[in-house]
Amino acid sequence: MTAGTPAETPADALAGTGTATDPAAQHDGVGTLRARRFWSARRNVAALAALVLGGAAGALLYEEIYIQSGHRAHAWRLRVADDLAHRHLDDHWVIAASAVACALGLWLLVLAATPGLRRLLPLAAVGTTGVRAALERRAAAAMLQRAAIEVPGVHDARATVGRRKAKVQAVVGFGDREEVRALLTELLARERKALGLVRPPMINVKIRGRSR
Amino acid sequence: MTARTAINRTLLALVGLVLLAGGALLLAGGLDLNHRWHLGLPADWTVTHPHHAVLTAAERTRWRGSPWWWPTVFAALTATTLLSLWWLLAQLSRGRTGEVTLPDTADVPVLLRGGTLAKAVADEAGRLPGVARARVRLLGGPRRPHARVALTLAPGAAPGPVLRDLSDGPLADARAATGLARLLADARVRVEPGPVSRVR
Repeated sequence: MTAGTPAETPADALAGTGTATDPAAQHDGVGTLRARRFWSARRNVAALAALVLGGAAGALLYEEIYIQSGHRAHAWRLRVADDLAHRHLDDHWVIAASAVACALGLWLLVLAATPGLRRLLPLAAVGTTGVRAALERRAAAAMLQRAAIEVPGVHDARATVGRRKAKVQAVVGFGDREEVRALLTELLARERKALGLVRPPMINVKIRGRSR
Repeated sequence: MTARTAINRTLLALVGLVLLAGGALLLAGGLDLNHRWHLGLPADWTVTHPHHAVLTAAERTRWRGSPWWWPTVFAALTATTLLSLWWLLAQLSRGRTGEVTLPDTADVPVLLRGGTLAKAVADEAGRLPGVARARVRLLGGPRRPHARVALTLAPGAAPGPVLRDLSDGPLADARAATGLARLLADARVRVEPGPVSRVR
């Protein structure tokens, strides 16, 4: 534990789960502290789309050249043409295929417009120049878990970090539960600040006694 | 956002839009939505009649006699195939900077290998307090490269101070050494899983 001052009040720690009051989320006038997310390049989806599109267009092109050079069309082309000519628009297959095309198109539009990389949480740029940083959610969870386990009386702890909320489950080995809870909440609030996130997650603390 | 990201997202949006529009049109025809919901699609569009075939042989061969038909078909198919191939190949490259052009050496062009600069930054970043491992890749063109840094913190280190050190140390040194005014960096921070020192 390197960051955080011991003089911080527990009240702040207990109430400090809202982002509005957090100094790290405010604009300090020097560096920009906007929550700039990392945008995924969408390489896999793009490769898949390019493969399907190129495959379909290439096959059609090949077939047209094949026919133009005096050959008979392949069976697959005859079947496709036949299906298109004989299936009506209210055919179940046509309706299903149209619905699938709609859903696929919508999904591609969503993928194109959203940042992706949801496992990365933007870090506040304080005192850095030209650096944009993000913390992996698993790393944030590991840091919170570590902070929880270091609390005296905590026997074991698990932490999961979502995009907005974090959950810490602690198993208390000895000591008064409420005392441990107060200390845990305080230390976790401090660790939450030490994460340095633009939008620190709200931490939900759950405490259990030892089962054995 | 890099050029590739912008291109990928534009093309994906285009493909998605075409799929959505085509699917919606066929769906509207199949479910007779033009009549039921009074969508106002032209009544002479065969695609608005549920009992009409998707594409009859007559419709398919309708323009076959026109002189523009075959050149158009071949041009469109060739363009789509080549564009898709280029799009696919663009995904395979990692987008690394091969060489960095040093800006202050206008008379004698000096090129620095991107990998060398990246390694120098990574070595220096790896020695920062609180950093267990650092990997650096230079991405983008030779004049405006940007660094992608993968930092693995030692257990117990806080990201804030490490990022400040990274900005003031390795990245500032790289800027000073190369003369690049703008060397932007993206840092992805993870934490090394390590033993927890229990305070009991």
